Amino acid sequence: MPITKATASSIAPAAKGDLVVGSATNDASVLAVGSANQVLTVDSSTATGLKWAAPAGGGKVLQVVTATTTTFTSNATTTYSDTTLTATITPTLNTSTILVLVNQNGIATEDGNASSGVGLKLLRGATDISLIATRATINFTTTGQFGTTLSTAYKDSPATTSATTYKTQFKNNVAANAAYVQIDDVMSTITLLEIGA
Amino acid sequence: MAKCYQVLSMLIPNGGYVQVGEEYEGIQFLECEPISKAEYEAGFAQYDAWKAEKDAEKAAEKQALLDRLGITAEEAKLLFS
Repeated sequence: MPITKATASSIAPAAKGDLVVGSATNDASVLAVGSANQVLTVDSSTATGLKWAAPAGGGKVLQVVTATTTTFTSNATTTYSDTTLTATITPTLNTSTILVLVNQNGIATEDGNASSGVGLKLLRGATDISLIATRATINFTTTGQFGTTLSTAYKDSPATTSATTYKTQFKNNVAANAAYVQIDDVMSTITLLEIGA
Repeated sequence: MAKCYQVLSMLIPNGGYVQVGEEYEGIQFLECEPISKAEYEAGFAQYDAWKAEKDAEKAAEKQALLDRLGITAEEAKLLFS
């Protein structure tokens, strides 16, 4: 039996945006309005067969976060320390992929030891997720070069909608020699792209 | 004018520090004896003379080696070309 105007009016929507929907043969009920930016989605497990849900990303770029640093930093130990290159993203969906693009500039090592080399890695929070280099070597004081660039693109699946921080850390392979980043205050960049699943 | 990393290389030749930025306050002495702010700042004026002395020492060592081998610097370069 079709729902008549009189029948529908007996079902009382409680708020703007509430929908009257069929819930069974000859039966109807009210589906309360969803939240901002939600879309109506078919879901046979619900009483009405419908629900409000966050839109699927569908492989689209949902947001982009970029950060830069020009802070010269040196590390004369063999223990990793922060390069000051860091960015934080809060994923819209926990199914999203985060594409991390890193351009670490002005990398150099101190003169004096042939084994000297820069180690560089990418972290999510305190967790290592990508080893970018182990012995990148530019012996700038003898060659006259003033640093090189290391880049990486890393696809991450953090499975969270909480704020998530990505950063790089570096070290030298030889304790007595320093490793440098952003030498001469050149700019390093990190870009985070949230890609919908 | 010397750079901050050159001064630290002179004052802490065995490493063991991390420096963020170029100021003394940005230095963390992790595996070495800390130097004072006065030593760090004085290092900028001392670096050029120290570097010239080191370069002269290195040049003298090279020349002594060439003399011992009985070849010129140009002939030594040929060995590695």
